[in-house]
Amino acid sequence: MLAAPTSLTDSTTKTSLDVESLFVAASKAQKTLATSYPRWETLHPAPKNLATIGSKNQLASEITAEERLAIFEKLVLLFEKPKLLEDLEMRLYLEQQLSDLLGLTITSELDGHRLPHTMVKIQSRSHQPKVLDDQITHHANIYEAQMGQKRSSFGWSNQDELAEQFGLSLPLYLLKEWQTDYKKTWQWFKYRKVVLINPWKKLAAIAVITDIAPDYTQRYQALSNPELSRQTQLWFPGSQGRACLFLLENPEKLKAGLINC
Amino acid sequence: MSNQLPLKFLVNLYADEPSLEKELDCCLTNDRVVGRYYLEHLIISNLLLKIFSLLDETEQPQFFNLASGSTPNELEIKTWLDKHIADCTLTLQEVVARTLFALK
Repeated sequence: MLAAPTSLTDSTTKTSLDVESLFVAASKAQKTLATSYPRWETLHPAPKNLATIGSKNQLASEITAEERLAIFEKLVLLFEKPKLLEDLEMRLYLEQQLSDLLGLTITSELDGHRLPHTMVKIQSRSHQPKVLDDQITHHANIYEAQMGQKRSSFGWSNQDELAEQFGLSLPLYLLKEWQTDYKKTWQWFKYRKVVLINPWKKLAAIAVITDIAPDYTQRYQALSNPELSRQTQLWFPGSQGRACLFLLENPEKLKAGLINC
Repeated sequence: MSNQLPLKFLVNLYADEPSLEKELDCCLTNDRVVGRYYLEHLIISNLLLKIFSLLDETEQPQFFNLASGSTPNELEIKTWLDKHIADCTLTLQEVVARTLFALK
């Protein structure tokens, strides 16, 4: 006798059964734990039942939303306990969580280079002149930020408007490799895209390193161009200009600007 | 509802990421998040059972308090586990491997 053809319905049923069997196994294991050690009942409660939630999509979105919230809380915690990032395993774990959250490959170290700081307090700066006779009216908006007087350490800019708007200045001279291989380091960081995350407002943006500043880092460890400060709401009193910075793998194809998270 | 981050970190400590991903390969894209949640939940339960069985009566409440503190963090948990059951890492990895095997 011929075997019944495998239909789409069959495959859907099988997948659904797989998730359900995982639920059954998870519930059973949690019950054993709660019976053996009742204290864990509150900290590690029984898994949510798909049948009571309604749909997989709803459960999935609730799980994702809670995990997203927890990751941002963890980033806030980093400002109180910066030592968390010194442990390699912890750092890799956080990078993996952030990569999943943002849909980008995020890292603290790339090609042997690291940013001068991961947790920074950022000061907003004026628009940077891109060419010799640059005027405030040549910039898209936020005229009240006025025009800065100094051109970038990288020289007159040949970057697009977005790169200027989301420009970030970092004290690259603090890097060890700056002392040993200044030229290569300068070239590597010039107009490199990085991720800036404001965990207080749950906002993230791809910024572009457009200058080497500030000269003193005791109070502020980075300067941001006006559009970047406004879009990531660094002005928010809760965040006080504080944000996290990470490097990006394969940044060439990415555009500067806010990213969904 | 989601698994608490410090407890999820236990999965990261003792589970092999590619094995977890492989286990979820049979799920459709939309099922993956839910499947991962249940799978991590299952592994956490089994790891907690094993970890508690390895700890003595004075250590058990210490570990529980660490995991349930107001700002629990993974580094403190890792350091504590390293100090108290560092020689059991292989055993805990086996717990995860056995959990995954039992699902097949």
